[in-house]
Amino acid sequence: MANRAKIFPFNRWSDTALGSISSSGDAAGYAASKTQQRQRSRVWRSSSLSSPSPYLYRDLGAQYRIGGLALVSHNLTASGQFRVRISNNAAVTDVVYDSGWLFGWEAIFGVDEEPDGADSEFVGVDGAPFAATISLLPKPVRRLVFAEDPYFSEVSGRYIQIDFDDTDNGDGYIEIAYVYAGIVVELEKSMAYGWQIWREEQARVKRAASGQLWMDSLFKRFHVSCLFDFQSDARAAGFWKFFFNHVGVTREFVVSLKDDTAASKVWSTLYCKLAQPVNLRHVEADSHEVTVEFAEIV
Amino acid sequence: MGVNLKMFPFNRWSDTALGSIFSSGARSGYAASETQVQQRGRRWRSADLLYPVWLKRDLGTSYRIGGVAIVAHNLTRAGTVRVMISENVDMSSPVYDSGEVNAWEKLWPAGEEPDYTGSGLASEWADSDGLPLAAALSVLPEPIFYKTITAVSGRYIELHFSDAGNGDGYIEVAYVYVGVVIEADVNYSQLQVRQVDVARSQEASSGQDWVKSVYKRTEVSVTLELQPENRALGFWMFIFSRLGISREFVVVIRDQKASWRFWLALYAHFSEIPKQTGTHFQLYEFPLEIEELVG
Repeated sequence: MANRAKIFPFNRWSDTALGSISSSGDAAGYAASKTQQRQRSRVWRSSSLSSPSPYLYRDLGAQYRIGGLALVSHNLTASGQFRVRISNNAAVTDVVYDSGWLFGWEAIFGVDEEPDGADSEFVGVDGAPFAATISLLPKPVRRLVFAEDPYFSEVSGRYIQIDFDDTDNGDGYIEIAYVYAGIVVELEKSMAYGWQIWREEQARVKRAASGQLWMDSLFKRFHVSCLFDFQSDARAAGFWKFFFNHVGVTREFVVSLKDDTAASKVWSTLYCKLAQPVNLRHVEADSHEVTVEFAEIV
Repeated sequence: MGVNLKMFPFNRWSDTALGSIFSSGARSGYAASETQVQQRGRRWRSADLLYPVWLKRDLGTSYRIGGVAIVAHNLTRAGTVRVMISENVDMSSPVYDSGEVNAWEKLWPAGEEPDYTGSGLASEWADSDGLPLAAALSVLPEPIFYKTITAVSGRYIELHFSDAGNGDGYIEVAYVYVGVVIEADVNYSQLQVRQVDVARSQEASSGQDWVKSVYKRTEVSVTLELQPENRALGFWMFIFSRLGISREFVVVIRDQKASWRFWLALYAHFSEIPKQTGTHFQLYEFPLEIEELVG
C-alpha cells in the first residue's frame, strides 16, 4: 500500500558468497562486482552503450525470495531505460518476473502534484528534474517493489538480468554504484506525524575579525528521523529485531519511506545506514514503537 | 498571522557560469564581479559618481526574474536606483523598468510612526520625512534595496545609480541578487528577532570594566507552519538542499509593514539546517534559523 514505509533489508545481490556476477562488458577498473560493494564511489561502468548492449547478470547460485530491486546512483539520462528479468534458467528465457522497459528517472511531480508556478527552477513541465536539479536531490535510487506491479508479487528466483538502454548517454557508458535484490518489507504503519527530513551539511566556516562570514560546503547528506508506532509483537520480534541486528550502524540498505506522491517518493527513497542504534520500546500489549534515524550514504 | 515571507533563493546574477558582467567603471580591487561573491566585505566600487553609474549583467540566456536585491550599498538618502531588465543588449523594449526610485525608504510611513513622534520632538532615528538619519544606519541591518515584481523572462539586467553628492566619491555595492522570489503561502509563528553583539570587555584590577562592540548581526528565528506537501517538497526541499548552511540568500519578512522592512530584510544564511517535519496529512512545518552576513 502506498505511503507505508518499505525497507529493503537483506541484499542477496551483494552477498559475494552466493554464485557469480557478470556483465556485458566492463570498463577497466569498473567491474560488475563493484555493484556489490557498499562504497558509493566504487561503481560498475559498462564497456559500451550499444555494442554490446549493456547488462548486469547475477547468478545467486540457488533460488531466493526476491520482492524488489533497487539501482543506486545510476547515471541514466532522462530518456534512459532499464529492464529487470528474473528467471530460474540461466538463459533467462523463462521469467518469473519481467519489469518491461522502464525509465531510470521518474517524474518528481505527478499530475496535479505540481507546486505553484509550474515553470519551476528545478523541474520541467513534464515533472522531470533539470540536470542542475539532480545534485540537490538524494542520490538516485530507482527502486522496484514487485507487489506494486499488478502482474507480479514476490518471486523465487536465481538468475537476475538487468538490461540498460541509454544510447545517447553523454558519459559514453552506463554506471551503477550498487544493486539491491531481495525481500522488501512493507511496514504495518506509515511514519507517525512528527517525522523529519533534512539535508545535513558539513561546511567550513571562515570568520574575519569584523564578523564577516563566508563558507564552503564540504558535503551534504540527507537524514530522515521518524517514529514507527503500533508495531505488533510479531513484527517487532520477527522483523525489527532481525533487521537491527543485521544492519547495526554499519551495514547499508535501501528505504522508501513515503511514496503516496511522486515528490515524497523521490525525497524519501534513500540508500542509507542507521545513524544510531535503535531501541524497540514496548509500550503496551502487542504494541511496540521504534524511533529510527536514517542517514544517506554519500 | 498573515502571509509574508519572501525568499530570494536562487541567484542568477552571482552564477559565474552564466554570461558576463560589466560596469561603468571600477576602482582598482573593486571589480563588478565582486558583487557575485558571498563575502560581504568584497564589493564593487564605481570609478566615480558621473551619471549614469551602472552595473550590467548578461545572463547569457533568459531566466525567470521575480526580484532584484542590492545588498550593502552606500547610497545616501538622496541616492536613487533604476532597475531595467530586457531581452536586448541595448536595453531597448525593457520587460521591466522601475524608473528612478529612492534607495532609502521611510522608516515610518504615515500611520506607522511610533507613539513618541506625536510629541512633535525630533526622533533620534529619522528626520521629519521619516527617512533614517545617519545615526540610524549603523543601528539597522546592512541596507538592502529590493524590488519584487511580477516575474518576467529576461537576459540583460542593468542597474543605474545616481548619487552625485555621495561623500564617499563612489557608489559601493557588496552583492546583487537577481532571480525568482518565492512568497511563503501560509502562516508563520514564533517569530523572534535579535541583534547579537560581539563585544570586547576589558576589566581593570579595580573592578572597573569597559566594553567595546566588535560587530553586530541580526538573527531571526521563525517557524513556517502548515506548508502543503507540493510546496514543501516542490520548493522548500529544493531550497534547503541547495542553500544548506553555506550558501547566501536574501529574505524579507513582514514587508507589509514598512517599519519592519528595515529590520527584517536580510542578507543571510541559515545557521542551522531546517528540518521539515510532517505534522499532518500532507502538511509540513519547519523552523528557520537565519543569521545575517555582515562585514
